[in-house]
Amino acid sequence: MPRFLLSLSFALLLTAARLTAAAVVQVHVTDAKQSSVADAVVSLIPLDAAPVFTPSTTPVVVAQQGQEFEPYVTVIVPGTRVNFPNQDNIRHQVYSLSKTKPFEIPLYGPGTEQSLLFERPGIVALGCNIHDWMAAYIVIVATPYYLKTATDGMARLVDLPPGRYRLEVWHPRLSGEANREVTIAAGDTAQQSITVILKPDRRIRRAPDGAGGGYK
Amino acid sequence: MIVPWSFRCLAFVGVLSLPAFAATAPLRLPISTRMETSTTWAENINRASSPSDWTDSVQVDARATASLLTPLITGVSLITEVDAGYTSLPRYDRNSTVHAGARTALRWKFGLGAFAPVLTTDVTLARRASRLNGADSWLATSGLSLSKRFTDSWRASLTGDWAQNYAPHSVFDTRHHRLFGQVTWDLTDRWQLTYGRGSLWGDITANASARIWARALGGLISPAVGAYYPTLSYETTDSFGPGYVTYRFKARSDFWWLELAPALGPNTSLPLRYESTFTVNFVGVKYRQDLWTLGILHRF
Repeated sequence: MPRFLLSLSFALLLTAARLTAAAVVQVHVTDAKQSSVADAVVSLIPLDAAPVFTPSTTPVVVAQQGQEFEPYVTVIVPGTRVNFPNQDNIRHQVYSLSKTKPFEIPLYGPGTEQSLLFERPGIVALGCNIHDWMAAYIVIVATPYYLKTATDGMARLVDLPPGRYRLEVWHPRLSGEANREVTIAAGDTAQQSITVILKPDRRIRRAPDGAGGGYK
Repeated sequence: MIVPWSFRCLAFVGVLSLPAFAATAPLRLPISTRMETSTTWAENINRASSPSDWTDSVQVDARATASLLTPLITGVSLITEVDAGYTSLPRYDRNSTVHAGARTALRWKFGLGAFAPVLTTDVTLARRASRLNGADSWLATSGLSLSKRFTDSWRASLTGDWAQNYAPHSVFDTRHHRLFGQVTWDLTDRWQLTYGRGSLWGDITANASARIWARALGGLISPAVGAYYPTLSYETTDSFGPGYVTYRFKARSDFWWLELAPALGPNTSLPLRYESTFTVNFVGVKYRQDLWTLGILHRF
C-alpha cells in the first residue's frame, strides 16, 4: 500500500509538472524571398491573463557610435530607462517625433550621455537632428515574452507558461501587420515560421554630398 | 610676371583660427573633418572668347575642412570652419593657387528631423596665394541658403551669395553675386544625382593671346569691342602662354551642372560632374566653358 501511494504521488507530481512546465517557441522570420530577417521584434502577448512584466533596473543602452545609433532596434518593456551615450567625437541631437514618446534632447557632446524613461508601449523612431541619416527604433512591448531576431532570422522565446498568445512580429520596414494566435502546451517546443512583406530599405543616404557646381 | 608663393598671410589665417579651438582644448573637441580631391578636364579653361585661343587643360584640386558645430538656442547652431586647399594647373602652373580661410555660418533648422527646412547664412574670409603677379587676394563672401528635404530621396536648395576678391592689381580685384538652385535625387542608397542651375552677375576675368587682344583693342573684332575693351583693366600675365593678357569685364554668366555621385562607403563618395558655363559680357562677347570633374570626398 505505501508503495502504491508513493507511485501515485510521483505520477501526480509528474502530471502537475507537465501541466505547468514552461514551453519554448522558436520563431523564424523570413521575407517574401524566404531570406532570414534580422532585427525583427517577436513578441508573445498572453491572451488568457494580463501580462506581468518588470522593467529592467539596469538602463538599456542605445549608443551613438560612428555616427550611427547602435543597436538599430532595441526592445524594452514599459517603464524601462534608456541611456543614450555619445561615443563619437562630435555632437549629436537625439530626438523622436513618434506619438509614443516625442522628445528632443539638446545637442550634447562626446563622452556624455542622456537618459530617458519610456513609459508607454509603442514604437519610437529615433533620429539625430544634425545627422539626418542616423536612425534607430525603440520598441516598447507590454509583455515579458519578446526577443529580436538575430541575423539568421531566429528568435527563441523560453520559459513560456502554457496558454493562448498573440504572436506579433514588427520590423522597421514591415508592410502591413504580421500576427497570429498561437496556443502553447505545457513543456512544448514549438516552431513558428512567419513570412513578412518588407518595404524597400530607403534610409537617408549617409555618404557626403559633392561640392556641387556653380561658377566660382 | 611669375612670383614665388607667399604663405605669410596664409599662416596669419591659421593663427587667427587657432584661439577659437584652443579655448576649448581641454575638452574633446567635437570637430568633424572632411577632405576632397578632384581632377577636372576643362575645355576653354582660360576663358577665351576666340576659338583660336581656347585652351583645354587638367586642373587638380585638393581641400581639407574642419568644422565645429555649436548650439546657440533651440534650432540655431553656429558652424565654424577652417579650410585649406590647393588648385593646380599642371600645364599652366602660374595659374595655380593655394588658399586657406575661415567660415562662420548660422544655421536655423525650423523644426526637428530630416524634413525640416534649413536656412543657413554664412560669411567666409580666405587668403588666396597666386603665382601671378598682383593676384594674391583676400576673398570675402557672404551667402544665404534655404534647403528642404521633401522625401527620403528628394531635396532641393536655393542659394544666393556675394563675393568680393580684394587683390592689389585691379584685373584681379573682382566682385560678383550669384543665385543658384539644386535638386538632389538619391536614386538608391548608393547612387545620387544632382542637377543645379544658376546665374552670376558681376566681374569676370578672361584671357586672350597677344594677337587677339591687339585685334580687340584695335576694333578689328567689332566696333563695340573696339570701344569697350580699351576701357577695361588688363595686363600681360603670360598666364596661358607668352604674351597672354588677362582682363576684367562686367558680365552675366549662366551655369548648370549635373553630378552623379556613387557612395563608396558610408563616409566616402566619388562624384562625377559635368558643368557648363556660358558668359556674355557688356558688348555681347560670349565665352563658353565645359568642365568634367571626377572627385573623391571623405568625411572622417
